[in-house]
Amino acid sequence: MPQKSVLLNRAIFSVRPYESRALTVLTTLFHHFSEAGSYELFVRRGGAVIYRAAVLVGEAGAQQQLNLDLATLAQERPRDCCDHDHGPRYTLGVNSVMGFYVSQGTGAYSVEIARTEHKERRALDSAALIPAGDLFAVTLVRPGVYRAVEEQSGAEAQIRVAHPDPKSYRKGEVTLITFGGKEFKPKRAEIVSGHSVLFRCEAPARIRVELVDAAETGTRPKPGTRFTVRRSGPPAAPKSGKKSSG
Amino acid sequence: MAFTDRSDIYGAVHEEGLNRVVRHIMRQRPSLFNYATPFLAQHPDLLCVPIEAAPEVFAAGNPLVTVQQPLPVLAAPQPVGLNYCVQFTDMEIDFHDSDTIKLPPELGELAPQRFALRLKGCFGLGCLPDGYYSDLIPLEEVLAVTQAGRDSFSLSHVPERQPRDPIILPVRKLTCFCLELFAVLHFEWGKIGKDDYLKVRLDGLEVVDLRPVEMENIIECYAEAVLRLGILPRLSVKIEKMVLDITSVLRQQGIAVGQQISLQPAPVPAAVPNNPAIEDDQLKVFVNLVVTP
Amino acid sequence: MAHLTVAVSEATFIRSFDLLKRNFVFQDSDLQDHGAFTLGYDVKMHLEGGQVDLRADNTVQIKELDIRWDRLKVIIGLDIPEICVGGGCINMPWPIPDICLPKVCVFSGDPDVSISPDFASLVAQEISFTGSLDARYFDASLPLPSPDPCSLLRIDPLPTNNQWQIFLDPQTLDIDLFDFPDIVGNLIENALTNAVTALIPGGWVRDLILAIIGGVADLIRAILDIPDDIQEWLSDLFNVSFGLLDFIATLVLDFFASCNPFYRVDDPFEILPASGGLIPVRAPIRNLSVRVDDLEMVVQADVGA
Repeated sequence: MPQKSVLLNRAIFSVRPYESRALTVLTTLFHHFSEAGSYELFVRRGGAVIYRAAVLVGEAGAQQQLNLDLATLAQERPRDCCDHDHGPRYTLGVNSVMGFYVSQGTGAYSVEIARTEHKERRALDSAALIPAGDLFAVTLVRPGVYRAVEEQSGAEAQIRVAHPDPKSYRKGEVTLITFGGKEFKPKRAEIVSGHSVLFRCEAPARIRVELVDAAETGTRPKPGTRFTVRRSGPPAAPKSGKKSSG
Repeated sequence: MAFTDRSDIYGAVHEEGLNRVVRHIMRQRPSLFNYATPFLAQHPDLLCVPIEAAPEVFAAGNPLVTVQQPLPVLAAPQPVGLNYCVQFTDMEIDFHDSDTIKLPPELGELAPQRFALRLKGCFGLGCLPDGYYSDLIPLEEVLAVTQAGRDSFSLSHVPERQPRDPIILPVRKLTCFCLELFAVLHFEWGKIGKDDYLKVRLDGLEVVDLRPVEMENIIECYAEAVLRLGILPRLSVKIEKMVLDITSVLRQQGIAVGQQISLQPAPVPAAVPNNPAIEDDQLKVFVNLVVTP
Repeated sequence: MAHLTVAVSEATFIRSFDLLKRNFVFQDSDLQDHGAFTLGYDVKMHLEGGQVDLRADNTVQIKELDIRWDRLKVIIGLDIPEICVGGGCINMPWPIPDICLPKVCVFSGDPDVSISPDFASLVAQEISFTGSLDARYFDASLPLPSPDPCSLLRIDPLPTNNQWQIFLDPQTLDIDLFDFPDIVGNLIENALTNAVTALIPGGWVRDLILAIIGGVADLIRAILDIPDDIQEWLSDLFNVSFGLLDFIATLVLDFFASCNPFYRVDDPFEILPASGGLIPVRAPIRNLSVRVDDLEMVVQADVGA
């Protein structure tokens, strides 16, 4: 059987803060197009624009959700693209959602969406804030305790990520947390490794999720369970002519 | 009782089969049984007995006769040679018990383990017709006198002549006669080189009723020499052939696995009372397989 | 009465069979793609032992001819399914549509694992057959059948002259079924498990991935669709799916019955070799027949006129 060469997606397993202003592997930003119109999409990486596209919102019968993999934009499929010759183009319905995620790699991305005819009216600038009505999702893999923080208001939530149980593991579970402007609701959530938390922002927000307490992996011995040998009685007499120092 | 009770392999030829084999040998090796001078070799139609040869002999350009030097005319100062032929025909074999060949009384009853052979020996001579003598005699007389003169006057300066080529005159017809020969023979195993062969050995020969008796004896003596020294050695058969070479596959495959497989006659009398044996109108051979790693 | 009789003792016949049998070698390989997995084999065998019995009913019985496997590899390849995190959908209040999260996968593609354990030392089988001896005339002037079924089985090159050939012609042949011992199941499961887990980093990462794929053993069984007894599954593969038994049986039958005569007699048969430019002396052989009894094989024939 010819062996395929596959690479491990190490970014999934590297532990780092997950921030809405710098989209990385395991984070997704969803923009809600509440108004019809013509928009321009800018994708930045390291501050530089790496991708531009047109987004046309409002066509009847158009799709209601489109997820865009920022790491593979150069390989974007033609059918998701343009009606005219220059630049890619997406067509969505009113109240549709466009998701921006990163499937692989170590890059950090930000997304900007502005109306085509009024470029100064930015519908989204993820490097600054998530606008009200948009959503931010994080998939948490490393078991442990995480803290979610909204950086403007200081609101916090705790997320516990449990070890997966092979017997009862179900894929694709999503937990919703709402940010209303001052606090998260609920303030605590419990999920299983590999599942996601979706933050719905009812007010502009800048969200960061970080690991505060990694769970035991079971490979290190627990404190107080070391194997110790103690000698009982006085030390044995030396066999040679040397005298013991003790 | 099995054929192979006393050996690994058994082979047998019935006398009918052997007679057919003899006929094939005579048709495919005619030069073994026909001898003649070069002129007669060129004109086989003049021979005493027409030669029946297999088509393969002609296709291969093999000779029908073995060429012999002409018979010299004794004392002729100018050598003269006569064309002649000797042919052996109608060879037939009969195993003990003899039921087709009745041996002459001189050879007695056919003994066990013996077989009888009957064949015809024909001699043909190209006698000189009278007309040739009238041409040759004057020449001979001159040479006879010349040679005599040289011999009488030993001091004469007659130069030595080169030996003269014999004159061989063509003939239109041979004068032929045939004699019936009877022989008693047996088979035996023997080595030729390192291989075992089945050989034919002559025990007795008789030419029927030739007078004077001494002449009969001389002709028998010559025929015996021809058979023993000439014809019979050429009829030795390798041991594998006696069992239809049926072990050829075995031997080839043995070599492939590093085994040397050869055949040997079963020992007498340890394994068999007679080997080869002539019994029940058959020639029987008993052969063992010898395997050396 | 036949002109010619040749008899071969049972011991000599057995030697002939032994030498012929040594030349039988069978090797084959195949790989079948079943989508999520591939199954195949790579095998090589030869024959050893066996008891030969010439029987009074004119048949030859070969018993307990051992199949010795020089190589008996099973090739199992698994296409590990997608292992991803994230994904899933959640209902959202109007006017926001239900949102489906993208999934992010652990490997850049679907990884394959492949194992090819060799069970040659764990499997043994025997062949038995009974057949009659058959004398056939080989006419060198006739063309061979196309395709030639003996092209790979023939030990010696075809003769250039006509021959009588004596074959052992089995009508039926029995081969023991493949019967893998219990240890084989463990060997396969361990090998596959090791191959799968070798792809995955250790620690909590492995825990997660194993949880996603539901445990390696169960994954393997699910992909291969095999029941509890792996060795039974493997035996079925070899006995039925691969068709190896049929193939081997046909080859053994063809080897002895069609492609490699035990004995040969040239026709015409050479009595005296060529000598001094003179052609060899040959005699035609007619009506060759062969029979056996419990002591020997007997060939009879006539000398043609």
